Amino acid sequence: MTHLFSGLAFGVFGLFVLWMTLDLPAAGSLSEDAALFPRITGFGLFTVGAFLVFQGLLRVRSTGSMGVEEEEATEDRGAEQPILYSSPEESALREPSAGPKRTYRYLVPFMLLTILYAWLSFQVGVGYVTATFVFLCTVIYWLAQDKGLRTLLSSILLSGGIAGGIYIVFVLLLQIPVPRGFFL
Amino acid sequence: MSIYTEGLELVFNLQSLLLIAVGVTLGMLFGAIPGLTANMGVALFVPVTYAMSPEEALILLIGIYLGSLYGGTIPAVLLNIPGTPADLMTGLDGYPMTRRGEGGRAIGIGVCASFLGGLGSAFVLATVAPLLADLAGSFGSQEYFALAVLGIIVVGFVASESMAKALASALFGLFIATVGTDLITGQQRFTFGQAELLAGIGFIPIIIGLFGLGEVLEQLHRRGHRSSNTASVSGRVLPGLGVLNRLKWTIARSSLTGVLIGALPGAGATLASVVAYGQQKRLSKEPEKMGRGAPEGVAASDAANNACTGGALTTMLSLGIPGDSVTAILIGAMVLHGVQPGPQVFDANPQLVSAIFISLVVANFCLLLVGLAGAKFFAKIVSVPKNILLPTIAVLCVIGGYAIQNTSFGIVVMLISGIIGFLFAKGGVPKPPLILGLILGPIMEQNFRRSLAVSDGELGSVLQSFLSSPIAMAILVACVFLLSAPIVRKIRGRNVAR
Repeated sequence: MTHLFSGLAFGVFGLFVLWMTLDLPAAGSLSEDAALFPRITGFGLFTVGAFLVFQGLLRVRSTGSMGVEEEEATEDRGAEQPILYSSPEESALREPSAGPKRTYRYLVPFMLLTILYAWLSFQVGVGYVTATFVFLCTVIYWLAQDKGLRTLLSSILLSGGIAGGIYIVFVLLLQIPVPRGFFL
Repeated sequence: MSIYTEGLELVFNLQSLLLIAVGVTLGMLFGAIPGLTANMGVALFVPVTYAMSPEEALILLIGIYLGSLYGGTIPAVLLNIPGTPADLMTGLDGYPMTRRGEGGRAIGIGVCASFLGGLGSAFVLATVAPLLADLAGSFGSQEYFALAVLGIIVVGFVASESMAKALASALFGLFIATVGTDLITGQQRFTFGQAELLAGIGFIPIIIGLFGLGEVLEQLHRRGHRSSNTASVSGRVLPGLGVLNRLKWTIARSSLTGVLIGALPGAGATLASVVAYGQQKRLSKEPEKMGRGAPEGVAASDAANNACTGGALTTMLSLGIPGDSVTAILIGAMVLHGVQPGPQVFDANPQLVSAIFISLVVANFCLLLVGLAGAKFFAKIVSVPKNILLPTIAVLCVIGGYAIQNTSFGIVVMLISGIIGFLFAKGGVPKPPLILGLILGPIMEQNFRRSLAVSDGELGSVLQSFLSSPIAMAILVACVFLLSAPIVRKIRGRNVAR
């Protein structure tokens, strides 16, 4: 299914690029045409996307009604083969203990927390160091396997150390002007 | 003063030597922790170099690059989990050695092979890069365009699972490179009225998002933070001279392979180690022992992947074209510091070129020392809990996205790139081609349009100008060959099956 979905995504995006180039003004010659190269990339994306969709449909046809789960399991088996340049690159790094089962249970909240952290750090006025400390505390404790007072205390200590270290390197040494907040 | 001595003062001072040591050690940490890659290490530390001179910045980043390529050997040998994709082949023989109680010996062989491979490649860099830069000085827009196309195609070719996905990724990168003000006409393209987009989308937030946050999300998706590894080094690490003497031809041959593959635009350390390992298996007197704990396997893989550095840097410095995805990031870092890599850098900034040559040699000695002395420490690093590591990387990604321009826009770009990186990983689309497309995009576009301008905008004349350049023609023929190779292979496979 990955061929089909990625092909559709790239194909549609290629068409979108081609459509956007229509807004660019016409030029006197090809060399002065600012839309030429984006058009080539848009056309390329559309063509490769269509090819991937074609490949995806062929695969679906040859394997019958292959469901997503089945194909994902196939991909996991494929990851054990030496893949040269990663598709994904990280397939070589898959850890046996992680197992083939995948979940959005941690991914989505983590992404939302990261966006919230960036917003609190740089937009709201909570301050970079405070927001970093709170973010690290929360996520380190949340992702820990054993939850308890000891883990909480170590999360607080570690977060303080990491937030402090990052503050020293980026703000004091590299002089990056991060927003100040409650403490720093 | 020659190009080999001008950088001596820049490298042999306490600060620079410290930067090399820190860079190599950080790189080893990134390599040693499964899930962290050379790309991520170099990308995350580009913003740290912002306040440094270009020489210091490159010294640190090259140290990280070199260290991370070796660092991946440690978990590959001790746990059979390659720290970076480039160490995939090392585990094939390294892990059986560990199971025999020879983990220390395998790591020692890996360090020495990496050192010798890297050192050899540094000498190749120092001798070949100036010659190649001289030759490239006569390159016109046709040759540069053809080289950039070759880079894109090679990346597609190397991504063995799906060339189409790799090409799509590269095309996506080429498109992102067109956002901003057109350098030839001054026309705004795809800026949607946003002032932040006038200068284009920042390269650094994109790579930090793709390789930093994207990887964190991918690990959470497969519950990587729940994994725990414990590793320890058994036996003596320092290999005897007899062992090294027995492996000398393996190391020499694999180093040469590594340099050549590294120099190929778009190819990288992973391909180098796979090819060198395969070559060693073919030439070995005892091929049946390969994959069962043969020291030759570890030496071949490690020598080749570290030798890649010199080859990739040769292409980067002399042609301005990245040899692999890490050198694509290094090009981004150079541009950030106001240095444009390519043949002109040898005349415009000989001190920097010299400093790169010398620092690569020093970094290899540093790798040998830190690698041998710190093997037991790095084995412990392998077991750093992911629940601490992943949020820390996210924090570094956010500050890294902000640091380049001190605006929140960089963070937004980084966050979007992180999501794209995750979606790419989920869809099996490789990320390195995107980075190459991003770097090669302006080179391709400007040279293509320059060719058009010279030919009065007629496509027929452009074609003729390409035909009249033997170098450009040879490169384009190679591109056609690479593009058609998978189709030919498939047709042949079908015929054999019949």
